[in-house]
Amino acid sequence: MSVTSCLAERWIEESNTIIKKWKENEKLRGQLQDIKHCYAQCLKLHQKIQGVPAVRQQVELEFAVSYNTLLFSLTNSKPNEVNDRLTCCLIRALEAVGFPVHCSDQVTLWQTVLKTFNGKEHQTCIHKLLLIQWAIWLSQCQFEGILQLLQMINPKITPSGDLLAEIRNLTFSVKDDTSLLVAMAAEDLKGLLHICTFISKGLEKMKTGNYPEALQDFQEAGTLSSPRALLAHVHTLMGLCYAKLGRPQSALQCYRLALEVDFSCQRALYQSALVYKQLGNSHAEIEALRLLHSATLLHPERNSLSEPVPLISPDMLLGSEQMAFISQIPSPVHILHILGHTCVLNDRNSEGAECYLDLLASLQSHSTLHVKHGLPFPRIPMIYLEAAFAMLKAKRFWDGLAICEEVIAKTADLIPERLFLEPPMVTHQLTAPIELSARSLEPDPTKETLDRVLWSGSAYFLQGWAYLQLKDTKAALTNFTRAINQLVKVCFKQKSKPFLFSFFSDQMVMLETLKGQALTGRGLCFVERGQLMGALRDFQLSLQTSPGCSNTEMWLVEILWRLDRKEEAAAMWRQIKKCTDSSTSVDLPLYLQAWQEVAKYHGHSNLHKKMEAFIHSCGTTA
Amino acid sequence: METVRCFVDCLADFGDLLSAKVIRNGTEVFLSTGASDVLVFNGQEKRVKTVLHFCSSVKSFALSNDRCRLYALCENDGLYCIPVALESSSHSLSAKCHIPALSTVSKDSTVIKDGKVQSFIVVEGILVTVSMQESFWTFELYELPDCSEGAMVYQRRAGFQVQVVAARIPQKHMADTVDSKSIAPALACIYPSSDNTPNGQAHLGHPLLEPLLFRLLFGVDTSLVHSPVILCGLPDGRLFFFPLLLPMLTSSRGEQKPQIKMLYSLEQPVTFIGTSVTGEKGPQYLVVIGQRGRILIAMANQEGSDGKAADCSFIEHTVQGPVECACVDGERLYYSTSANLLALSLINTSASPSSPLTRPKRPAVFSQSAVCLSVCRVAALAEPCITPAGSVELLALSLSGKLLQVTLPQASDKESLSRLVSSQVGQRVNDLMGGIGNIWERASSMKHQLQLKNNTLRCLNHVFNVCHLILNCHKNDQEVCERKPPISCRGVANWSTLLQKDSLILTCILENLSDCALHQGWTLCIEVYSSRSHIADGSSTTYSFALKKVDCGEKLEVNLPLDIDGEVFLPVKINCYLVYSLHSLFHPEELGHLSVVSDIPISQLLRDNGCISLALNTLTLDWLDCLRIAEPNSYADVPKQLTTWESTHKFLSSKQTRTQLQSMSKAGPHAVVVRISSELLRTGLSLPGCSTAVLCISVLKWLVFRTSETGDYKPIQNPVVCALGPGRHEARLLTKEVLSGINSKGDLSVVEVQVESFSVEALCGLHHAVLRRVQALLKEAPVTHGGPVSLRGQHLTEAVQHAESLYKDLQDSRTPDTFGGVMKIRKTSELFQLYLQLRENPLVII
Repeated sequence: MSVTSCLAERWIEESNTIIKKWKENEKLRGQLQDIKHCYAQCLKLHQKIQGVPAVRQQVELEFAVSYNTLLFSLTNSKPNEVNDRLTCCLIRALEAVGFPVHCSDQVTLWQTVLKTFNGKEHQTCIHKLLLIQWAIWLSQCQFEGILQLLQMINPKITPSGDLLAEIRNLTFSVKDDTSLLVAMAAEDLKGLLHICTFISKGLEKMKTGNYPEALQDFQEAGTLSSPRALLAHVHTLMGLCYAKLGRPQSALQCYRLALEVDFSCQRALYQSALVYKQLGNSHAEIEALRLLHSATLLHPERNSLSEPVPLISPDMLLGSEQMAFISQIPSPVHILHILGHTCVLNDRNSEGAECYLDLLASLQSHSTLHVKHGLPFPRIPMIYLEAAFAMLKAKRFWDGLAICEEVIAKTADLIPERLFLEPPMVTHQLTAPIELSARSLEPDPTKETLDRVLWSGSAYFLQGWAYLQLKDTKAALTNFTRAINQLVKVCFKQKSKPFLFSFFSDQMVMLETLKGQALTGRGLCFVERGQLMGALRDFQLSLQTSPGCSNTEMWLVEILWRLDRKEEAAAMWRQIKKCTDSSTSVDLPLYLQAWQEVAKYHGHSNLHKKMEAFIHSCGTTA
Repeated sequence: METVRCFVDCLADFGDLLSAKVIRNGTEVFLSTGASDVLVFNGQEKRVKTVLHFCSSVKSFALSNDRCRLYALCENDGLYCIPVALESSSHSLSAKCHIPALSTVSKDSTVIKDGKVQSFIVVEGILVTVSMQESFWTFELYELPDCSEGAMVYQRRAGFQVQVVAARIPQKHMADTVDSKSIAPALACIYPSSDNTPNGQAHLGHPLLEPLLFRLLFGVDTSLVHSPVILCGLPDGRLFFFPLLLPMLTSSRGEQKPQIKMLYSLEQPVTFIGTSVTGEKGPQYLVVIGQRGRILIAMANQEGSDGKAADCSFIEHTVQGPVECACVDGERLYYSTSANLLALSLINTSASPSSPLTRPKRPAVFSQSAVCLSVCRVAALAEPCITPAGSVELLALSLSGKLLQVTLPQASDKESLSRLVSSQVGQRVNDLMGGIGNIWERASSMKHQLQLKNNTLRCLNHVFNVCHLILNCHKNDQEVCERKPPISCRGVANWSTLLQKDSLILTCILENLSDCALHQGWTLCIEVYSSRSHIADGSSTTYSFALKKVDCGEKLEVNLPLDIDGEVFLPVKINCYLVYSLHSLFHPEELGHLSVVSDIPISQLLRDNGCISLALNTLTLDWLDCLRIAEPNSYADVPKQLTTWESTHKFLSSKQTRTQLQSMSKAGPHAVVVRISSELLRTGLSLPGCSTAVLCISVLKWLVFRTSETGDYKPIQNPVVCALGPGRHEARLLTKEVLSGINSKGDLSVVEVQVESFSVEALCGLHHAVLRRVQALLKEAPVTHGGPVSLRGQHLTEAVQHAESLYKDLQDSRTPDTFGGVMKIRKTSELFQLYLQLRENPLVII
């Protein structure tokens, strides 16, 4: 017996021992450390084998060990490193059969390898390594390479140029040799690659907006057997396509399926919440968000501990970028915010208040690091103001007042006596190098200051409203006045107003609305206090700054009526009747949106009767 | 500059440092000295308790917030995390033994394997690392695993990138640009102070900042959630900040706000970031110091009564750099240039107490200059602490490796300077003396270093001079060799008899005729190639003689044996070299220093080209050089008294000769003749027109003594020389002038040199030597004959025919014979006969 064959036997034994140990571990716990350990051992063996010159008799053994090592290395190394190692294996195999090549191009190399080993007994082993190559390219989204590779081994059919068609027609055999154990059966790997390629390709199509075709791919992927988590992802993606194609019910169906398959599929939960929102089913939306929030809180711990890690995970095959897209969900604070917002909007006030309190607590807690991914989060003062509003709606006035006080303390002293708005020259500076604006902390200080004015104004306004609810009209009056004082600090030339609107559009609309609301609020205080003239002035000013607010108009009519200026009231009434409701398209903050109903004029029907009677009488007298 | 004396207590001395960092943790002090160790020093016991040894040199280290884990950033390895034994537990163990415990940190404790990480900071369960990746400064945030759980997985939570800009450094600082690359970014975590945190105290070791300034600098959002802010001063001078605990924000208009923002650009590498927080009414500053002495102070301006909004202003001030390290204690900033430790007061003491309504005055850094604390070469400072007595205590690590405890005098002390009690005067004098001693120590060490460098340069200059001389001489050699080389080595073989055993000694004389003395460090190397080495493996022997000093015009004589195991194999080729080893340039002290700087030992640095080797001469010693001249009359000059050993040897050797050369020993001495034309010899030996007898004697002298001069100091009066060769083989050399008939015109006068000996070895050796000499003569002789001498063709033909017949015989004897052993002897003798016949050719060397 020659030395090499003697060594070969020993190596086969060693390889099998490693794999047996891995299989045991996989059954028991399957942790990342085990994979690392086995990888280290495999690598050592692989190096040993590569220490002797390549010979034809050893090719099979070498392929098997290479396959195992590469499988382990897929999870442990970067794709490029695995790729290099694979190239080395192939070149060595060619050397063993006397075909030394020195080409760096992967596709050409594969062509040579497949041609050399075609029809020989080593073909199945070569196919195993081909699967590894497929996995590497898949994780890097190199579909072109995969297509070329698969066309090489599917020579019978005329090349269609479609990767998925090629995969469907894939017929090569990857039988496992019983004498040489492998860490993962090639057939399983092939199946996994099959599904993942479909998903990856579908995702590509989704990104280009080709939803119908993407849907087809996902549907086909869904018919194949796959791990639970992956199947759940497939269903979620299908749902996403349906949602984009305007079929919300089908989308919901898909999300439900996804959750049935794998309850930890949070994306499906989040997406269904979005669909419910779209459908206007706020109850279901809130439920979904609530579930999602509790799931995100539970999830991290479950993930880090004792979760068995598969040798080849779909996450790895799909690549981190694709995976991030698939499982993208907002962070817990985001979800909490959406939940609170939705609750408040749908009049589930106490729930909303609780959510906002949780949100503030988690923002202030120093133990959680907020994952900073792409999903946006409103500015913190806005959150505070929304929270204050939620408190007020839930009749927790003192809490609301305290939160507003916090905002005022942080912002009021940063506001100058006069803020002159100018059409910003800064737009040009924004593109200039960062050094230019080195000394100013904000890229656009004027906008930031305007924001501060709005925040402090809103905080005073909400305080005023709280006091009004508490029937402390004096304090309410003070706060409404303060709000108005803050807001009128913003100066601009009347001439340039439209021009300014184009630059600060949202802020300007908000400023005007807020001013109008504050004036209305102060007017209401005056009404309460019986100072009708003051109320009249404020209501009129309010309508001047933000015309079209029906509540204020109603109040104005009422006040005019009470002041016995019935003609004017009738004229006003007719005017209101004439013009239909014109709502502004800009999405206002929560507290301004919902204000309308809070300050609602309650004696509407009464006024209606009064006015109709008066107009009628006027008509008859006339 | 005002100078303040402070009490300096040297706690320990660790020897010279490369870089340093020191952290105080209760009574324990953690310090690194730029090597791969972190030392744990106990301040009470004043000794090193533990040495933590890492795999590579420690760049920086920090303690976790709970002070139970040590994070260390090592060169090329990444970040290590090891638990630190609590003081109480280690106390009992080490109380008895005074040897520091060494614990080696294995690579398994690496938590972040990224060799590119340049700095890090640990804040409340979050680890922030800064690394340079391609053209980006990359900030990575990791969540620390829970201490109680065993898991050591650091999950990356977020990351930002900042484009690297080419640092615009003024021209005069260009030399520093290299440095600025190696400077790690400075990181600091700043907390807003709240009502329940006492003023002036750091929060878990991180600086605090007054809420208003915090809000102005870092924004309303950060301030609302009370998130700490990470400030990072990059080596290019830019100061970046990002809130640690804030989700990605979007403004109401849907624009995403960048997470990381630039605060300022100091335009020089940032050394230190801290805050100056004093009491309720005192100033509150953010203090940043650049490496070249630029100090940035950010301060808040309260909301004015005139309706101006609160804002912050940045004030720059420059002190003399370079600033090595700094720390802030309340109102005072302590910084160390490499020369001195200085204190800069940030509080405006001279200003009148300002009413709360007026805006605070600019900080005092403009009105006051720094106070010198008279502690030099401080490389690292720990957080200052206040002693129970109320004075500030600094812990400093000096570049000379001293751990110093600097206690600053209290303000009241300073006022009562004039009224010192006698004991204080003594202390003051002590301190002053200590200061002088410190500076003297530094000065003398620098002087010493300078001296060493000068010496080295002088040596190097000498070496180059010598090189130049010898190389020039070599060049001249190729053109024309007129002058004697300035540095040369001659060799003469001598016989010496020691314990009645003869041995051949080569005496080499190194002659220095140049203007340069050969100093210590030069080595004369003599390489002896024995003739045996041409046949067998190239075994040459090299003898080196380290020179002490060979002055101009001096000679150095060295002796070395030529025989190997009592035998001499001639001819011997001798190469002489002068070798200078660059090692000797370095002072041993410097060598030690060098090996500390770079991990590679000096020998490895100079391994490939650590020597300058200059070839001097090449000599060849042959049989003629090794002859011992005897009286010409007798052949059998057997020594009268023989030792037992010698007689045995003689007997054995004669036996050997008999067995080998049976036929020859009977037939008298063998002889070979070399004929040389007299004319050639006369011109070659520059003896024009001398008589026959003189020529013959001169030729013999030339052969035996390498000189043809007609001095009578050599015992040659006759044209016959009897001599003993190596191995006590007798030989005789004869010269006579004859007329040869090979010339066509007439007879040619020819000098016959005849070599006779019983020993074949001696015969062959001498014959070879004579031929070599003649060959050399021919080479040197000017080619000016009186025209080609026409030779008798017939004679030449005969000679050729004779040679051919001999060649045939030789061929015959080489045919394999089938007769075996006995025939071998016959064959040897036959071959020798052939050789002799071949030698007897009648050709004349003209």
